[in-house]
Amino acid sequence: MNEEKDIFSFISVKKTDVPDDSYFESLAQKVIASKATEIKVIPLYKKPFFKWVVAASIVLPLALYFISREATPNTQENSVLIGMNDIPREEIHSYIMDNMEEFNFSEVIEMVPTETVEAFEIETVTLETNTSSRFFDELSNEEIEDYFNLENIDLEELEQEGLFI
Amino acid sequence: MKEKHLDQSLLQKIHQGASFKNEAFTTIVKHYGPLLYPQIQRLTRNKEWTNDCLQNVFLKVYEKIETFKGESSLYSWLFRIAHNETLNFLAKEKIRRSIDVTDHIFEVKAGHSLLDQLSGEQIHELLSRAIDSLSDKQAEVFELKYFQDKKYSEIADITGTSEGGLKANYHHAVKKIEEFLIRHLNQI
Repeated sequence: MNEEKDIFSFISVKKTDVPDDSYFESLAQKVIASKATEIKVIPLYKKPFFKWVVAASIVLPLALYFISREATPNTQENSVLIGMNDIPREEIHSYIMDNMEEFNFSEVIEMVPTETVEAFEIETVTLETNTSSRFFDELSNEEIEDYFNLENIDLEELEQEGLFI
Repeated sequence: MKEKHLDQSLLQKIHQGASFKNEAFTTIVKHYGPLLYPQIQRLTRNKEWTNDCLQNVFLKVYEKIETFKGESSLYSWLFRIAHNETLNFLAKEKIRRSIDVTDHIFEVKAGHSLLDQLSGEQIHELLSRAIDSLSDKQAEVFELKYFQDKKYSEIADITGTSEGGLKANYHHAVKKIEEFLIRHLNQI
């Protein structure tokens, strides 16, 4: 029984050879060097610029939304313009031709952008002042008188008003 | 208590910037490395593994040293890190390669009826399990007194514990280990 209790007297420990100071000195330097070259991984949410990016991503879309709302004053007008796109070009053209008299020409010009105006060639018909005289020169007095008679035009009345000499 | 003053001055330096930290860390490695080396060697029983493992321990110490609050002695803190890191290291290494024991820690004298029935490897395994059953304080004292043959006055300096307390702890540790060994030897 005594033998069992005194178990440590049968086990002896072999002394471990511990390296000298230079081993521990170089071990310390090795650890410091490895830690100095180690790349620190900082989580994205801990990076200083991250909160600014988050703030900008919230504020920018809101700002753009409100700016675009301000830039669109009349939604009814917009819907009219959008509706115009659905009408075929030929239909618009025929409507303009039928209602030409109703258009105020100066207002139409104002509506057309200046750069587009240059593309138009406005055809102005100028009557030659001597065209009528040349035309009448080719007619004889008898032919003219016959025409007046045919049309029941009173020559004396015309002479009084100074329209016919 | 020389060690206590050393611990305090090292901890102050650690919080004074990178160059002071490196200086303090070098002192820690040089001062406590020779105490941790045999502790790790006893568990690994392989010089190459001991070197690798000790490096892992001090890498961990370098990372965590700022978190050490000084509630225990610095050695107690290092002893616990060394123990845990070595067990983790062995768990990984033993999966990768078979146990390669190059250094035997114990010598068993013939004449003990129960011990004579076991191989050196079995005795080592049993003794390691017996030490694992000790409390942290008992394990520290047993390591320094039994394996490293330090005097109580030295151990008192290292651990910051009174010599009376150390003697009591050592006595309980030896008793616990003997009981553990006898109980398991009788079952074999």
